[in-house]
Amino acid sequence: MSQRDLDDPRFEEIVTELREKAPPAPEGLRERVDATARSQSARKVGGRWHLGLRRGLALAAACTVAVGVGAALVNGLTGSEKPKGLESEGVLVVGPQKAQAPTASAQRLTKPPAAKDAAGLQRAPALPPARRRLQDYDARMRLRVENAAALDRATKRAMRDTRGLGGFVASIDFGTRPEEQGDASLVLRVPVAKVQEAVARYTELGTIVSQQVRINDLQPQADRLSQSATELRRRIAELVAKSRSSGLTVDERIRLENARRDLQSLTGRRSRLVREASYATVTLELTTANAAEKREEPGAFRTFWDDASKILGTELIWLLYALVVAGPFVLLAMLALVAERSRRRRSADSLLAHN
Amino acid sequence: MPASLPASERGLREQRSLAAAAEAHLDDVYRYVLYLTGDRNVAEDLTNATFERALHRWRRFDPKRGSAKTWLCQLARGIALDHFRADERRRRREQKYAATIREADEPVYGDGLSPALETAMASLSAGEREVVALRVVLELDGDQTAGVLGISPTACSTRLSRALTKLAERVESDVSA
Repeated sequence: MSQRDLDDPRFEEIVTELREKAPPAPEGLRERVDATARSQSARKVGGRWHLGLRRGLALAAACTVAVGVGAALVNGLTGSEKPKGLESEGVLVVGPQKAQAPTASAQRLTKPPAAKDAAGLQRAPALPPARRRLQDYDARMRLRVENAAALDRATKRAMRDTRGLGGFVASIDFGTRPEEQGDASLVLRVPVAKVQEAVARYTELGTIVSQQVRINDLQPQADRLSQSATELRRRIAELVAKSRSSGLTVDERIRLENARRDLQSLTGRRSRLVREASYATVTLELTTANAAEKREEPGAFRTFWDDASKILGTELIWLLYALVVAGPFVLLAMLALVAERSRRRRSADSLLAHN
Repeated sequence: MPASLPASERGLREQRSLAAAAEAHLDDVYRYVLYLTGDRNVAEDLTNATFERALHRWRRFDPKRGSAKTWLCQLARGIALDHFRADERRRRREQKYAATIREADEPVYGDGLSPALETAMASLSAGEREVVALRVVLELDGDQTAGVLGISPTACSTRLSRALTKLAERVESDVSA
């Protein structure tokens, strides 16, 4: 607002008179107020800090942010001091719970697990097969070799070792690319009794990138087939005995034929099962690619940053959650505050208009 | 406080001491409350109450957000409104609400003020007298006045213009009568 409204000539006289004749405060009041004001130094008035609502809220928000970020940083610092345990684990073994622990004799067949390859995986003995149970033994290994020449040598040696142990090569897929790169994939069948020795030899062909062993117990299936076969044999023997003594009806003759056919089928299935269980399948993948396969240990800063980011993310989620939950109530409170202030202003205007 | 001191030095002294602020602005606060209430005795009590409240809240005073004069006027306004509310409740209880019309038998709004102006001033509402007091008598600028009243500068200008027009008309009619 400018001074314009007071410069109106109509008001000049009134303004001048009001200013000139403005009453001073009475002496009695002056003394009372003076005494009140001078007691300021004698009294300890109020607290030392008066923040006010806005400053208090700003300070609380700043403290909350500082505590949140501080907690994230502290957690990141303490978390980055030790490496992650899981990443230094040894051989990845996935298999059924029935897989048995290595026996002392089996341990002797493999190299000790002390050596550690470049990828951070330990050379560990493969799980031994059960000696008195039929099992489907499936091992999968991925090894890294230096170059195409080493790939060729390793492939040939794997085939030679397999045959030397009484096994055979089920399939092979070998290929090289320019710049000494290449891959080979071999499916090898090894007598199950010698699979540990085979795995131990294969691990010497290169650097282990990954290793997986899966064992399925086939013994219950074989036992069921044996029981069915025994039952069929008993039935066949009864029908044969009857045919010798009194002869068979047409229906009995059909049943005898069916029983013989079923027995033959069962015997064949059990033989295939036993044959399947007598050879372990080893899938051997050899590759020259190394950069992508290597596991890089994250540095201290990276670990710190990851941990701090994780904590900050969690805090932000909680903050969002709190906002979503408390937001409507805060909004209602703000609306109530605005309404109350408006009501007080109207009330003040009304009071001043009627006095 | 001597008026000859530079404004910046006065501001510093106000920041340091309520006593200095009281010395500098007691007349202003008293005049403002007097115009609001139209009663010298009530104005004295409310002015004293204003400085009592200022004493308790002095540490909250922030010179960056406004002058001590403006801050004291805001305190005085709150106290005057509390007084009006209490007075209204009391009058309701006593059922004397419509009976009180002030008579300008003794000067209230100035020493030696012309009777016509005194009467015209008394006929204004407290809200109108308030804006006249702040803008004319205390010589606050438009923004400071709007800040004290809690309204926009435009609304403040309109309110002042209406009050002064009403005042001029009533003075003129009184003189011509």
